[in-house]
Formats: sequence, structure tokens, C-alpha cells
Amino acid sequence: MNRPIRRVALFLMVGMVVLVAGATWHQFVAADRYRDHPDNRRTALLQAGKERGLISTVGGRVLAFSEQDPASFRSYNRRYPAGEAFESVVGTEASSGGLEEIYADELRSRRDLSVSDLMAAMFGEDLRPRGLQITLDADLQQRAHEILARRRGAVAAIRPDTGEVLALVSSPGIPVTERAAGVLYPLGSVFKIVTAAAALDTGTADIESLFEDRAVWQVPGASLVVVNPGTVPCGDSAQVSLLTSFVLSCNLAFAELALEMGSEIMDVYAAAFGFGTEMEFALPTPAPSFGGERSSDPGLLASAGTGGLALSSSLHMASVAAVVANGGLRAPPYLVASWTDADGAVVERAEPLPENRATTPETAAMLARMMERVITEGTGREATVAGHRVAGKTGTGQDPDGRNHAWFVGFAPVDSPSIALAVMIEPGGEFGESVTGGTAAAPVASELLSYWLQRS
Amino acid sequence: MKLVTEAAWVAGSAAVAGLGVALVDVGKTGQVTWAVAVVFLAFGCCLAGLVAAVRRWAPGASSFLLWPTALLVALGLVLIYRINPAEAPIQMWWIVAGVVAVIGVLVVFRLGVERLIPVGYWLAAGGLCLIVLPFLPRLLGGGSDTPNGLWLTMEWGNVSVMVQPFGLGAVLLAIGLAGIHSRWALESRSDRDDDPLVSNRDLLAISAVWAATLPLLWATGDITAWAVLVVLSATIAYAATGEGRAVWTGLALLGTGMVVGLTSSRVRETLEVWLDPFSAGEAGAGLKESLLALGSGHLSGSGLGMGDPELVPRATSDWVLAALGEELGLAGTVAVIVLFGLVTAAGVGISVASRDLFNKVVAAALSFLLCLMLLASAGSLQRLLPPTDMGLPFLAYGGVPVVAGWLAIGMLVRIGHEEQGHL
Repeated sequence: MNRPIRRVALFLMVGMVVLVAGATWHQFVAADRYRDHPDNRRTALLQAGKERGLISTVGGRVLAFSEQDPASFRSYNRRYPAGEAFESVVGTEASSGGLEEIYADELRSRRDLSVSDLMAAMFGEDLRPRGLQITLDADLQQRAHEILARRRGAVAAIRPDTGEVLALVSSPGIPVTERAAGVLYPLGSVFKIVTAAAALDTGTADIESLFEDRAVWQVPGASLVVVNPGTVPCGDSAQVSLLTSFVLSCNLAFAELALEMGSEIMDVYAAAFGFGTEMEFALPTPAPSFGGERSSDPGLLASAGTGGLALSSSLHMASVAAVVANGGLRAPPYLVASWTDADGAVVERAEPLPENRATTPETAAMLARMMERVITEGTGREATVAGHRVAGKTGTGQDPDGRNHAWFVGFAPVDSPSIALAVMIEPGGEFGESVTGGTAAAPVASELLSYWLQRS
Repeated sequence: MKLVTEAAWVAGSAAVAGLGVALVDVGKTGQVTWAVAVVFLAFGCCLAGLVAAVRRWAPGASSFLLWPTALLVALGLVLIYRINPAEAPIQMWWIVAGVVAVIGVLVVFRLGVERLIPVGYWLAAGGLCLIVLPFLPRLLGGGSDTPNGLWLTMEWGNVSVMVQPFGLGAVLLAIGLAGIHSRWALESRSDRDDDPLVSNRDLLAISAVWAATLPLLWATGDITAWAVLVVLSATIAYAATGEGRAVWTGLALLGTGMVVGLTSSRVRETLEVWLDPFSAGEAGAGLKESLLALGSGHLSGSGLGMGDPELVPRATSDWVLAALGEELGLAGTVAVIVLFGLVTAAGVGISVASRDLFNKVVAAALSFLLCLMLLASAGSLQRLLPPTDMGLPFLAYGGVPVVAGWLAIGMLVRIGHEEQGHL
């Protein structure tokens, strides 16, 4: 009499085994498909209120921290006490492009009180969020932000011997990092530093080498005509030195030099200064270019030698100035200094990227002399800081619409440089449409350098 | 020795309930509330009363059946406290009512459950009436247009109560059918040999249940809940007669019913949700959110109080296993299946050990029912079966799932006592 009952029971047992298999499928094998399903509102709920790590400067200024929501347990509010001067670098929880987004995973708390958490905690694992320390100098960043507040542009400042980024400001600051690192702008004459470095380093010219002084030069074998600024000759005599050409930012000498050295040498030196490769950096930075890469077109190469085709970011150009300041050695810029545990103890220090030699120390010293003359008697007079020796180079790059972008790159003090910077000012604002490096970017650099030099 | 064991079990089960509530508290607010003590004491008192009653009126019964049941009820209470704390005290009262129901069964049938045999027809008919109650107004042309599955909404003035009489109806139907089939089986046995007419009566009874519940399928579209009733009636007939024809009849009726059911727009809607809950819109929201909850739970779950089971509609009743799967993970889901498996095994064990045919068939019927309801509820959650809003006994919120479940347990305990020593 029991056989039918046993049979039904067996059938039901098979059903239960199928249930366990089904549960394993839904909660293990295919679980991620449901968890990451776009209709699953948990993902958004989880991110919104979760505790995240502290972001601070190495100097101890708190840039972002999580505060427990007084109304709801397990929910945190993100605070940015340092203000909007840092927003272009740090970003916010909701914005993209800043450190908050780029290091979202690293900053996140791994504490969610699940069973696996308890297990990990039992084995002594620290699940609290880690803190991020960045190299920015809080006061300099604040100052740069204030100076740029009325303008459209960007500033980057780095320590020449280490590559630590001291300030990185975009104005206006949203979207994050739009100007200072993430977008390339036409460079103009500041690229002449690279052409001059190549010429001096290879012995193609020295600073006293003379070039024919003309207003216009028809590039041999090309349809292109190189024109001096203002379509006037550089000086009064028939010939002009490399030094004078650099100081007054005349084009012809650099066009001739680029042609003379050829695209191979130009490529090597541009690459040594960081052109053509994407920087390894905390924030996304596109690869800067000088415009004459592997070019057999003499017109193109001549134009590239003057900087007429170059595109770069303030961050990268600050590192170009730093090469000269650092005796020809290039220390790649970096922003992330270290990671700390939740108690603030450093658990991981950022490995500095290897330095590379861009020029000989002798070439760098010559470039430094030339750049100092730019400030004392050339296009960069507006960057003067009373009582301090400043070196720099101005530039005015034109975008395809013919709109000027004003540049100044430089460093100070000349004898023992503690800062290298690049300033880029877009047309518009208080300077109007016709900004130039000397009139728009150099004064900003002066303000910033005098703040820095007086402080230290 | 037995006293120590039982005291330990009572304390242990109450501790599970208390600990669950404490975890919910910590997960939600970071602090433990007084609810922990209340639940621990109330649940402990309930179980102590239950154990005392079993010792008094059914001392021969193995208490093995009680413990998986107590754990399931504790788990359900914790989940309800987690999802909707306002419902937890009410559920606690329903648990008290369930325990009282068990004691009531033990007292009323202290001379044996066979006095139910003569009223088998009435029980089965009453059970069917309860089951069809919610959609009766709809079938007759009245009632609301919004499909509300197996739920009956009762309104007095501005007080509105939702009841799902299905579970209670199914328990009564199981007992009633067990009475009917075992009486026929006994009659046929006294007539010697197999009288074909007798078997045809059994098959007719299955068909009667099928015919009576077909409107339920048609009006609610709840294929799974309907199938539980058909399978239940077929397996009871099979258990009582040993006639394979009962099983084949049940299967044939299932198939025929599905074909008939396809003419109902509700059935087609259910099938659409089943086949693709993610593009079925509002109708598929329950199943969709439940699947998302299950997957989010993964192996170990988010932890009590730390998931988002509120995202699942009617999470305390229709989809209580989704909340369980999210916060306690695959581990919790498997634990519930195993606990139901233990209840079923204990029930089938009592049935197999019974010498009296009615006792045997009733115990089997109730064990089958509890297991079938788990298969239906969990199976539909896992999309193995079409979605159903049938409340899972012991775990789901409400009087019916708890009291009907405990009623079945009470019957099993009583029969276990009667048939002691026959193992």
C-alpha cells in the first residue's frame, strides 16, 4: 500500500532537486546577469550612498570626504570642503573625468557587511575605503583658480626635478579637466624651445648663429610661405641671430633649422620632450603632436619647426619647461602621490615614472639663458617678477578658425628652479579676441610666479 | 533527556528568530531594538506551548516534524520584519493562532482523526468553495476589473482586508479527498477484487476537482496554482488506490485544462509574463524584480537588512522567497528547500508507518500539498513554472499561509501519535 506514496514522494524529491539546481542557476551561474541588468535599480542605490575614501593633498588639505548621513544609517554624503578650485581635478561623485570617477573603484568601501565581508574581516583584511593623496599644492591651486576665474584658460605647474604636479586648473572648471590636461590646444611659438633644443644639441646651430632676416620666406620646394609675426623682419640688419629670433619670437630661423635638420631629428627631439605619446597620468591626456611627424613635405616641416602646427596641453607644456629647468632631464608629471589606509597611514607610494634625458645639460643651460632673455628683453616682459630671475617663452597658436590661443611656459628661479609652469588663455573675456602669449598669458604667469616665489 | 532536547530546540528556534530580527536591526539602523527580545520571548512561548500540548495530547508523536516547521516560521517572521516591520506583530499573532490551531486539532481529534471520514465530501466541497471565493464575483460579472489573482479583497466601510483563502482551501480539500478516496478504497477492499466501477469513482473525483477549479484557471490565469490542485487530487487518488490510472487521468486533465485555459486572456497574459518577464511591463514586474533580487543575492546574500527587497512588489506575500534569496543568498534559498524537504519527509514517514488507510492517505495528502506548494512557489520564482501569487505556507505574510500550514502540521502530529510504534 505504501508503494504509490513512496513513488509520489520520490517524484517530489526530484522536484526539490530541480529547485536547488534552478536556485543555483539564478543565484550563482547567471547571477551577474541579473545583478548587472540595466533594470536593476540596486546598482544605482548602492553607489549613491556608499562610503568613499578621503582625497587630500600631500600637504594635508582635505579635498573630498564621506560623511555619514544623519538621517539614514549606511548612507553617506560626499563633501568637498576645499571648494571649486579643486573641482577640475577631483570632480564630484556625479561628474565624469575627475579623480572621483577615475579612482571610483579604488576609493570605494569594500564594507557591505555581507557574509563574505565578515569572512574577510576575520582574516584581518581592512575593508574600509582607502585614501588618496595627491601632489597638488593647495594654496597655489587656490591662487591659480582665483587668477583664472575671470578668464577662459588653463594653468599647469609642476616641480621640475620630480614632476610632482603643483597646480592644475581649468577655467571654467566644468567639464572637469577640459582645458588643463584633457584637450589639446594650438601651441604656436612655445614649440620653438624644442626646435632650438634640437639645433643646439645636434650642433646644427649655436645661439649666435646668424640667419637671413626677412619678413617672408618662400620655402624651397614647397608652396608654403613662412611669415614673420607682423609680416616684418626681425631686426634692422640683414642678418639675425638664433638668440634674437628666439627672444623676439621670429619664425624664419626655426623654419630653416627644421628643414636643415630634417624630420628624423625633429621627430627624435619632439619625442624626447613628450610629443607623440600619450602621457602616463592619473587623468586622461591625449598625445600632444608637433605636426611634422615623419613628414617629407618641406613646407609642413618648416611650419612645424616654428610651432605653427603643434597641439598640446598645459600639463604637457609645463613638463617641457621643466626639462629646461631640470638640466635636460625630463621627469614625467604625476598627480597621485600615495594611497593611505583609513587611518591615514601610507600603504602604497606611487612609483615615479623613469626620467629620460631630452637634451644635454649644456643645451639646457643655453636654453635657460635664451628663455631668461625672453623675459628681460623679449616677448615675455609681462612675466617679470620683481627681484627674481624668471625664464620663459611665449606663444600664440591659431586654431583652424583663426582664433588665437595665448601661451606662456617658463620656470623660476633660473639658478635653482622650484616651479615650471604653462599658462594657456583662450580668446574672449577681458583680453578680447586677439589674445597673444605676451599680453594675455605672461601676466597670469607673473602673478602666479610672484605668489610662489614670495611664499618660498 | 527528551525534556532537555526539546527545551534546547525551543530555545534554539526562538534564538534563530531573535537573532534574525537582531541582524535586521543592525543591518538597517546599526542598533538593536527591543523587538529582538519581544520576538525571542513570544516565539519561545509559542513553541514551548506547542511542545507542551504535543506532550499532553500526542505524546507518542515524534517532535521531529515540529522543528523544521518552527525554523521556517521563524525565517518568515524575520523576513516580514525586514520588509515591512508594521506587518511583523500581526504575523506574530498569526503564529500564535497557528499554534492554537495545532492544539485545537490535537484536542478535537484526541480520539482519532477518523471522525473526519464521513464529512470528507463536505470538507472537499468547503475547500473548493474557499478556493473559488475570490473570483466568484468576477465570474458572475461583478467585482473589480483589476486582476488580483488568488486574492480576495474584503471591504467594510473604509477598512479593506486582503485574504488569500487558497492555502486553507487546499488543506481542507486534501483532507476531504483523502477521506473520500480512502473510504472508497476500503469499500472496494471489502468487496474483494478490483471492481472497475470503484476506480472510475476515483477518476470521477479527480475530474470533479478539475472541473470545479477550471474557472479559477480561467478567471485568474494562475496556471501553477490550478495545477497544484489537479496534481494534488490525482496523487491522493493514486495514494489511496494504487491505481496508475489516477496519475494518467491527472496528467490528461492537466493537458486538457491548459488547452481550455488558452482561451482565457488571463492565461495568455500569464504565459507572456512567464516567457519574457523583462518586456511584459507592469504585469511582469513581480517576476522581473524577483529575478533581479535573486541574482543580486548571489551565494551568500546581501545580509539581512542590507538588500533592497522593497523593490519587489508584494514582497512579504507573493514573492517572499525573492527577499530571502536576496538577503540570505543561495544559502538561504537552499536552506528553505531543505527545511520543506524535511517536513515532507517527516510527513511521508508518518504516512508510510500508518496502518490505518485514512491516516495513511491524509498524512500523505498533507505532505504532498506542502511540498507541492513549495515547488509551485519556488518553481515559479525561478521561472521553471508560470508565475503564481500563491502564498507559501509558513513563510508568507498572512493568516492563511501560517494557520493553514500549522493545521496540516497538527494533523500530521496527531496521526503520528496514533500510529506510534508501527515504524
